[in-house]
Amino acid sequence: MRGVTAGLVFGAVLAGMPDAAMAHQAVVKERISLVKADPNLMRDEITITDHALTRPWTVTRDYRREHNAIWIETICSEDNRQVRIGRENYYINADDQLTPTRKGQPPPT
Amino acid sequence: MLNRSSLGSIALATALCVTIGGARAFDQSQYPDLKGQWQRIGAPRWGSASEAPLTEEYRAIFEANLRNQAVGGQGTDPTFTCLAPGMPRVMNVYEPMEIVITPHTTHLLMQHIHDSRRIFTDGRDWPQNLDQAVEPTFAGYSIGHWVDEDGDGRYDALIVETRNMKGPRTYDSTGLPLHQDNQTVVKERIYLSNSDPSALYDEITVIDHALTRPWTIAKKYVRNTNKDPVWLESVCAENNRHVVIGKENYFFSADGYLMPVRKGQPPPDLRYFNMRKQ
Repeated sequence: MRGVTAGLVFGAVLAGMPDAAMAHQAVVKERISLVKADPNLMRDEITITDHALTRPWTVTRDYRREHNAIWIETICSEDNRQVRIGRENYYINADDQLTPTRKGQPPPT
Repeated sequence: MLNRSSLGSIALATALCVTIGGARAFDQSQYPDLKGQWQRIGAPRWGSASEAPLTEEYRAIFEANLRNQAVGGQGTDPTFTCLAPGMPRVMNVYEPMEIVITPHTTHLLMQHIHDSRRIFTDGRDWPQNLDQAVEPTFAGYSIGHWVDEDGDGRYDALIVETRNMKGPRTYDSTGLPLHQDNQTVVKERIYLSNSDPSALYDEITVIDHALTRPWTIAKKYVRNTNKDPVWLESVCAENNRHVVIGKENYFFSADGYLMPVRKGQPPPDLRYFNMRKQ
């Protein structure tokens, strides 16, 4: 299967890289297929065209099929100790108190 | 574009089902046509709180929750920090729903906050010691089976039972609570209207220790008439103005300042900050 994704929102960054998709200009093209030699292996060839790149960048991701999967639930906000107030990022410690994340950080206002 | 992608995923799922050795062929014509975008009707409310058969204990919890909400609190509603609503609340269908049927699983795909559901239709039985075999989730563990009720060779309804939920959960943002023991069982019958193929019903019965008897309601959803509906993305954390510090809930102003949500609310404990330098 081939697919194209466009219209990405600013901030949809690639592993911390600066994103040039300020005008939603990133385009992602994918080819998703089963590996012929191993039907339990799925491959996604992903090409990113983005103004932060000098040329299209292609990577390959492989995924292994689990036949007896247990589907667990991950809710990021369930125990997220990071909190952003204004322009500062703070941490909530095990005692549920607000703590600085760097030396000399001002408290929230 | 997004809709086209989702159709592609259905095609891939179907292709995989056919390709894998020994898999049974998937005859889509056996199933009701549930394609498209399903939307709720009206506000995302479960039912009349006055009609909810709450136990005396949970009626008192609900009323205390209303008093807290009246002065700016969130009461028992846990989702303001982007916690998943869980079952059965997700069937309020906060954002439009797509139903993807495969031979082994029926997926109810919904944005909002982790509202999507996976309903196993592969004939499995409940795992022994379910809550130990599978970690409880807000969505719960759902087993369903398709039934041909009128014997015409085509399935009419999906019968679903969901167990193994975790909490806290409420029915909706009014804070109408489910029991904290998380022993809830939800039974559903999901079917298309005989007279209107753009109307989908879900008869939902909740069995919960916060109730004096099983509570059944019917939800109706309508199919978007646009053949290429727009699927919006909903990311709860993207602009959530609520934050909990300690046992207190605060609000961010538009300028990013921390604000109280009720009169006389104390500020957060700032003992870990060097206040002399400020």
